[in-house]
Amino acid sequence: MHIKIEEKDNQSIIYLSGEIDLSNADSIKEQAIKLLERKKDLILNLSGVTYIDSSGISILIESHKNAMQQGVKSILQDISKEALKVIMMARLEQILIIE
Amino acid sequence: MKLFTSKQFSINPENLKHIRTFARDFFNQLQIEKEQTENLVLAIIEAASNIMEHAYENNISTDVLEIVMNILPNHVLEIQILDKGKPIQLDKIKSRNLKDIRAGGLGIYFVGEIMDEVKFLKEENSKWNNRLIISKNITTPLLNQH
Repeated sequence: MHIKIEEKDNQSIIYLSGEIDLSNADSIKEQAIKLLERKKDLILNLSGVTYIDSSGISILIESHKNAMQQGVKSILQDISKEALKVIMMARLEQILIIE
Repeated sequence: MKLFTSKQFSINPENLKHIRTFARDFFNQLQIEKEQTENLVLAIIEAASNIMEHAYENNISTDVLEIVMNILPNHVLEIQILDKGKPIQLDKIKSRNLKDIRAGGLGIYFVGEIMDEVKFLKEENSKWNNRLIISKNITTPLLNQH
């Protein structure tokens, strides 16, 4: 799994690629929560995600909930088909913000 | 064509990638199509992650879990996952209520969505404490020839 972070004036972007599971989900979640504490919108770019399970989905849910508490948005962008399938299996496509 | 395989993995989330490779290799040689393969891999990983998170409370251990995969007559794929962790409390296994926006129980929910049958068994008089049996009817051109 590879993670790249880009910070702009009004938003932070996390580019995720590779396989997301229990072995790396907590570390990604911590970084997402830390960025949201800066009260900027967070973009989670999932274009390179080749595998995600419920541990990875928990990152998306926690980021979404944390962003709402901070009064900002957590937005999913460029979702790979592998990740979208699992998001849809969790029936979260209507709940999470997808661009 | 192999109709049976089994392998043990120590309790460590870093082994989940090796479990994926093991499962994909078995499904690929059976010529199960990619989407079905990835769904089955997801179900196995959710089950293994659940053991690591709950039966071992997120602790790394030298204990192993064992995955046994078998093609039964009538093209039923049966996967057994055995562990020596904390005995399962059957009344505490909860799938996710889809109205809740939370991750808890999502893994079990995925397993139920993907597989045809899910059975949790407590082991007695065995070296294992828990046995999960999940099964699904599968079709592949290769299996249809047998």
